[in-house]
Amino acid sequence: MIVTGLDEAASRALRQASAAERALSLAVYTGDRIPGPDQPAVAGTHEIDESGFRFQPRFPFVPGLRYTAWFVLGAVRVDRTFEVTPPAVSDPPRVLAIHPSGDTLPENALRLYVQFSRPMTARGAQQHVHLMDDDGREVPLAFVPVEDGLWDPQRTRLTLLFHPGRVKRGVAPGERLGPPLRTGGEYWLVVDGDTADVAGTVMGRAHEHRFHAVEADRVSPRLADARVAAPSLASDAVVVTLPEPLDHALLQRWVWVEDDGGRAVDGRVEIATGETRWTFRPEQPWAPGRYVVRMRAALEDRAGNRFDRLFDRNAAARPPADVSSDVLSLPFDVPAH
Amino acid sequence: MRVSMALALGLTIGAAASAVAADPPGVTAGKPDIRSLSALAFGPGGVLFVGDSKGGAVYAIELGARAAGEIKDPKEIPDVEGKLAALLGATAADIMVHDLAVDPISKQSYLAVSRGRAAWNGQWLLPNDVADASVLVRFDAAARPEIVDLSSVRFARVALPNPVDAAKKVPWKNVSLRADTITDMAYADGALYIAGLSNEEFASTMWKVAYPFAGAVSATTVENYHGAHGKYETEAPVRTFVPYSLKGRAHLLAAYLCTPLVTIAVDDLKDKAHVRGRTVGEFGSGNYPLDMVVYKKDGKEKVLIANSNLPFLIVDPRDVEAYEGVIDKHVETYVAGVRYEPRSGTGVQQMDNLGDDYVEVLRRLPGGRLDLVPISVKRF
Repeated sequence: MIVTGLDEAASRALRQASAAERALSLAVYTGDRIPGPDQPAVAGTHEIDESGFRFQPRFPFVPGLRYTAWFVLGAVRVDRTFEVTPPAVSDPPRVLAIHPSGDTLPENALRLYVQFSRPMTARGAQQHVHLMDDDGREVPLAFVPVEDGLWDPQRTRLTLLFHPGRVKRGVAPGERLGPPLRTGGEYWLVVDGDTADVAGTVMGRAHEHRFHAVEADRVSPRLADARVAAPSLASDAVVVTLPEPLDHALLQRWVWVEDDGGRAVDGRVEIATGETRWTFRPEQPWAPGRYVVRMRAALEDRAGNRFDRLFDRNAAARPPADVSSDVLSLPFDVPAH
Repeated sequence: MRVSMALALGLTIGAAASAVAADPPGVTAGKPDIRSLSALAFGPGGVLFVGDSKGGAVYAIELGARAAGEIKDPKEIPDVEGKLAALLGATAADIMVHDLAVDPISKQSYLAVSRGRAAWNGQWLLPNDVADASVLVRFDAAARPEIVDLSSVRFARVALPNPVDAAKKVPWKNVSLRADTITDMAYADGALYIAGLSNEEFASTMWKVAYPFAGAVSATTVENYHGAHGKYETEAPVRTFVPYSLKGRAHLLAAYLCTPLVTIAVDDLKDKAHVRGRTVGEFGSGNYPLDMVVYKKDGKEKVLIANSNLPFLIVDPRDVEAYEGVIDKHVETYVAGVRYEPRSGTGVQQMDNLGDDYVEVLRRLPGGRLDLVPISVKRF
């Protein structure tokens, strides 16, 4: 805040004034008007130079909050109410991805992940996320309400659980309301632009993810439908083509590569093409020999069906014949180069 | 004269560093480089100790000559957050108070304050887990807040040896342990005691340094048996403590999360030693003991504990002296050992003595307002 147009006498008086006198001469208060004596002025420092009489607040003015500045010197009295606009943020937080990332989702999908670019504020997180139908109406009770949201420890990934009572068959909420997604419907997941990171910086622009609901998936993924492409060069990646889109979060934890001696190989995982391709690039070039991609049988597809059992199943059902243990194996060979 | 007013954004005014005058050894004049006002405590002659967890240091700041304050029918100060918000140009929701200490000379309340708490979340996060306090505020006689200018003061500094690494986290609340480098401080008999966390294998540490600062800072790791959890605890820091003489021997009475009360003999606080405190009470689970003071009523001293999830608890030091046992077995009911008396008083976030006859508390009212309230010790 700067007061300009002071004449020589006024400038001199302010130059000679003590810090306390200057603070009385130019005071900024929160609110729309000059308050009573009980309310302190905003803390800051005062300075007088050729350009004018300046007040620099101890903390930046808060965008959207109203302030009133009051200048008094002799018979001159000026006041002004103002607010500041938020400074343009060069790097606001944003949504990096929504998983499942494909453009279809089975009617009985279990969950969605919203991956943010940095740690977000958890307070009221789910109020900023909406499932909209084709007519622009919000789908009510789509997700399990979780106060402050379900976050990963870094608070960059928000998990949205479709209401399991509406997804599972033969349960009261589903019988009454039906599933949140209807086969054939078009939907948008909208993450509001006012979603904020831990520092309070908002995204600014909403993020939209559009998808089409398809028939319910009531089939387990089958190991026989998975393909492994062995690396042809020592520095190449091994690529697993998955039987169908699988859960993005579980794919990062529950698929790995072991060498012939059962030791896990260090490397980087990439998940692409709508969570149907799992790619692993080793830290060190492959040594020739036999390797195996291990996958936990508990890996889930988008509807929570695991390799070893369906999400929504007859309790007496047995695991599929090709699932004989908790960990599934896809061997591959790296030839001598 | 035509005067106009405009908003000049992006303006910075450099603070000139003041020259260092001739001072006694250890004391300099200028601006202390405090990174976080994590804990406040007053010491002899009205010196203000500031614990800086982020900087891993303690500052002894001389506040200068000031008039002695009188306590006659002290009044509450309503809406502390609203007043601090007006001072810091923000809304009350943006204000957080990290610690309170009452100046024994002026009787004014000093607060460590931060602005901006978007990260606030969860019942186990303490203010220092959420933000770093950067402003020291005191309330004047007219109950108006003013910033205490630390840009040019006389101060001494001691660095704490081996403060806990900022990369280490509290697994169950996912925050840096660094915020607990200094959890509480108290001065007694020529020494300042500093409770917190170090990088030692047994992280819970009690540092001790002579004041005026002289000689090395001694570091003793401390552990205690926590009956409610049924195990020895070496990583949980002391949350609050008071120096107190038991059976003629100097002790620290210390309280921990989930509320064991532990006695530590001052003679045992040797540098690089590891001591096991004696657990003499278990006061209830799911609770942070936040502050502890000693007060005197009807000629008898009592210890008063303010809590996050329990009311005021009063402990008679004579009961501690008379308690022969030690809690070293699992306590199923969460409560054991030395008895306590509860007193109404929830929502107390900060507490300090206000003269001999009052305690000053920062208290959240049921409606949400945060008030500074003097409470007569007669009430206890």
